[in-house]
Amino acid sequence: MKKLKATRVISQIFFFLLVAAAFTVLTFPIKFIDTKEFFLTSPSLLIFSEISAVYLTKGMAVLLIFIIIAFLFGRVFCGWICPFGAVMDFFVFLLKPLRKYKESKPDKKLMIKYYALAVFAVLAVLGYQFVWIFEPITVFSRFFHLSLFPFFNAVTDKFFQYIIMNHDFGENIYYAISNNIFSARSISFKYSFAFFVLFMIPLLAAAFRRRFWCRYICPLGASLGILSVNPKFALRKKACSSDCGRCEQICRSNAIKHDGSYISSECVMCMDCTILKCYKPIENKKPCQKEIVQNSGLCQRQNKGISRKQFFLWISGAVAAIYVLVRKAYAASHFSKNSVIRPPGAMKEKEFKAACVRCGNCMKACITNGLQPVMFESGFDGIWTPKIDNITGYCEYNCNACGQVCPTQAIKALTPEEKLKQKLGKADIVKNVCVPWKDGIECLVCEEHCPVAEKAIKFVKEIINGKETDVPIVDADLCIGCGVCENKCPVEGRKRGITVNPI
Amino acid sequence: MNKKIEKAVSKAKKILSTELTRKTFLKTLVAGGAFLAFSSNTAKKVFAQNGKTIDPRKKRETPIMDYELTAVTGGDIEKITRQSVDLLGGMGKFVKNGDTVVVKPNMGWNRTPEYAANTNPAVVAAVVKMCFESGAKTVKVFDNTCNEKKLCYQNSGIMEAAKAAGATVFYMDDWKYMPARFMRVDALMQGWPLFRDAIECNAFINVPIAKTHGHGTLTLSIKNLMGICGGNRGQMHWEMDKKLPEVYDFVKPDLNIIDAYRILTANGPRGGNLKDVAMKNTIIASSDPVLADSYVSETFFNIKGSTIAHIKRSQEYGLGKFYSSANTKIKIEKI
Ligand code: SF4
Ligand code: SF4
Repeated sequence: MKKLKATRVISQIFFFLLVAAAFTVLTFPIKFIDTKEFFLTSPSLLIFSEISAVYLTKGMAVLLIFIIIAFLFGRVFCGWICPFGAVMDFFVFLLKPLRKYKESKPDKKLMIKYYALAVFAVLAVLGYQFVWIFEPITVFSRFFHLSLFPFFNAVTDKFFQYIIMNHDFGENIYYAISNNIFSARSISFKYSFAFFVLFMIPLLAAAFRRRFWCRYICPLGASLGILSVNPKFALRKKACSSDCGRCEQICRSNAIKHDGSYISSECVMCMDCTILKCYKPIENKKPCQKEIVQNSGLCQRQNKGISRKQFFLWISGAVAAIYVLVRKAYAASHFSKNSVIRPPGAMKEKEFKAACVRCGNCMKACITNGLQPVMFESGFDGIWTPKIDNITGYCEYNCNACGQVCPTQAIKALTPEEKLKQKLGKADIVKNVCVPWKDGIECLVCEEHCPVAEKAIKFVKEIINGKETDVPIVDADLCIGCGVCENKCPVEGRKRGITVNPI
Repeated sequence: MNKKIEKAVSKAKKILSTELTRKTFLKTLVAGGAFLAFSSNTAKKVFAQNGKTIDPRKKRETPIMDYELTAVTGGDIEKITRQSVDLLGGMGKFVKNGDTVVVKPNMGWNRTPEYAANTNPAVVAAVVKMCFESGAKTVKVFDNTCNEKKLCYQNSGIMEAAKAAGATVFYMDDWKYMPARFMRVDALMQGWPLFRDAIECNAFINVPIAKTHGHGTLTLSIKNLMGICGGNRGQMHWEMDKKLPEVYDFVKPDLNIIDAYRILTANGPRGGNLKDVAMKNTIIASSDPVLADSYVSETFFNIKGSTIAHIKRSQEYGLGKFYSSANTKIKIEKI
């Protein structure tokens, strides 16, 4: 069945291109697609982020479709749709000459990903969300948005700049590209290299084991694996009396056992084995065949009453649920101060860190390039969450892009009117840096830029160095903390005459 | 010749056929990663124009005009704009066949037209059309915005209006600025990055809007040229009154068309309060910036031009003369 395999490859290419194209055009203003959809395909991502921050999004409805698909067909998402999987398969193809490895049976390490998932689940109940480290879709988008795209943007810019300046050619082409695809400025992000490394590790691992990531680590794969313990439609083996073992070696997921049976929760439905003639594709099979019960070790279909194991699971589930609710109540009554300036409409500090999956959507969409990943400024559980860095950019008054593209709604999708009223922080004059306060030189840049109609920055007369000077002061009630004053302050360097502090 | 090609082909084959070893692969990967990480910063340096400077714009002789200044009042923006220029003697005096023309509006702020923070899009469109009617080959419209470029261009309505009139509208990207070489050695703006396209053009039409700036002073035609400056523009505010005349003199616009259809009377230059906007329904045209600015400040803002520091400096600098009702050849019309 070469055809089936070819169809799978085409589907992978198609979805990869679709995702890549959507990520590429994700700039302000948000066009026909805001890429949120792609993140809703992942149960581990969505469920854990919602448990750890205790909230519920509409995205759950979309997720249901993918859960049903997993129930019916198994991990087709992994083999046919996942863009990260597609890249990995491509790397496997590239690295073929390097691979001198034979599948060994049985592979006990396959369970690692389930243990990891359990750890993530416990952390989520405790209010910490760390799946983002391994979640393939966010790893992919993080790399794409924060590392690959800035690179692509810079290279195209420089290339065209070079030929326009030196050969007076290509100007129209350049403006057509940059106006439609790029953000109005070339963007760059901190920690680009780290995102690149994080992306490369699984790809390199593919040189030693095909689909290394999907087998041992991937939380998305694990969550789909649990759902597809016993899919309704699955591969079926014809009677086989030979002991050739080719099916074992051909399987990229190490899902086929020596006796020819296979573990459906490991199978990514790549259809490679169907070229062997002894495997038939997709057939409606009877529910929970005996061998699958034993092989997968996860199918719990017993006709007895509740077992001790189940009882224990139920109890711990209930305890976890109660704990989560208590945590929610506690969080609602406690005000947490932001550690850094968060985007407009962001959840409260602790919930924000838990709900944000570090996909980089908001940072890519931010029109001023002001949203940057943080490292440790907001604690170990806040790594790579976005903050507004008022030196690289600021929050543009009429923009609400970040909330529109946040897949987990860690940043709320604000209407333009709501956005104008968001208070992000509060500006403070730094009197030993601000030029009028320090030297008595006239300067009104911050006041000029203040977007609030009544002006949150006012001028008062003050005697500086024996000279009467207009000096700026901040009206805390009017200030929305957008940071444009800090950004435009003509004092060079990172220490400006006015800074916005988080509230 | 043939042998050379053969050699090259065999070489290429060799390169292609060498097996990808783990080491070389890792090497390329690390190199690629490092490149990825540092590209945006290094590329900026690598491609920076080293040593190229830009000289003041060479302006055509200022044509003899029928009036020194015209002010036309009326309801139809396009009509009054056209009339104000026609009374001066027509756009044909400034724009010749095959010219590359720059029309420089004020679109520095992310505000819609009714807030009077940016030049009225209809005025810009009318000017662009007039340029084309006088035979312009291309008309470029741009401004170095204070807020985010994309939003300013869109929300000001100028991008759409000017494009519809046939103009080329584009963002002023960092790399197109060049350090200016002023002829006066004591110039404060010596070496300041200015926008190349604004200097390299046959005709420059300055289309500011009349509005307040900070407390009391105004932003009119002289101040509008700040929009072609790059660099740390905030620092231009220090001793701004001396810097502005220098920039104006460097660019030497052929014509100033001040949009006083709506004016911003307080909380400029950004505005944001409709209370501060006043309807004056007037367009003022003149090629003398001091004259135009002092006329507008006296008639619409009740401020004497000579009390505004940068206008006074410009007059001292020799850019023009102050408005006085006695000895200015002026034409005021209502349509
Ligand atoms: S058994 Fe293996 S080779 Fe066959 S479809 Fe599943 S993952 Fe692919
Ligand atoms: S941080 Fe502000 S400017 Fe950036 S995307 Fe969000 S709303 Fe827009």
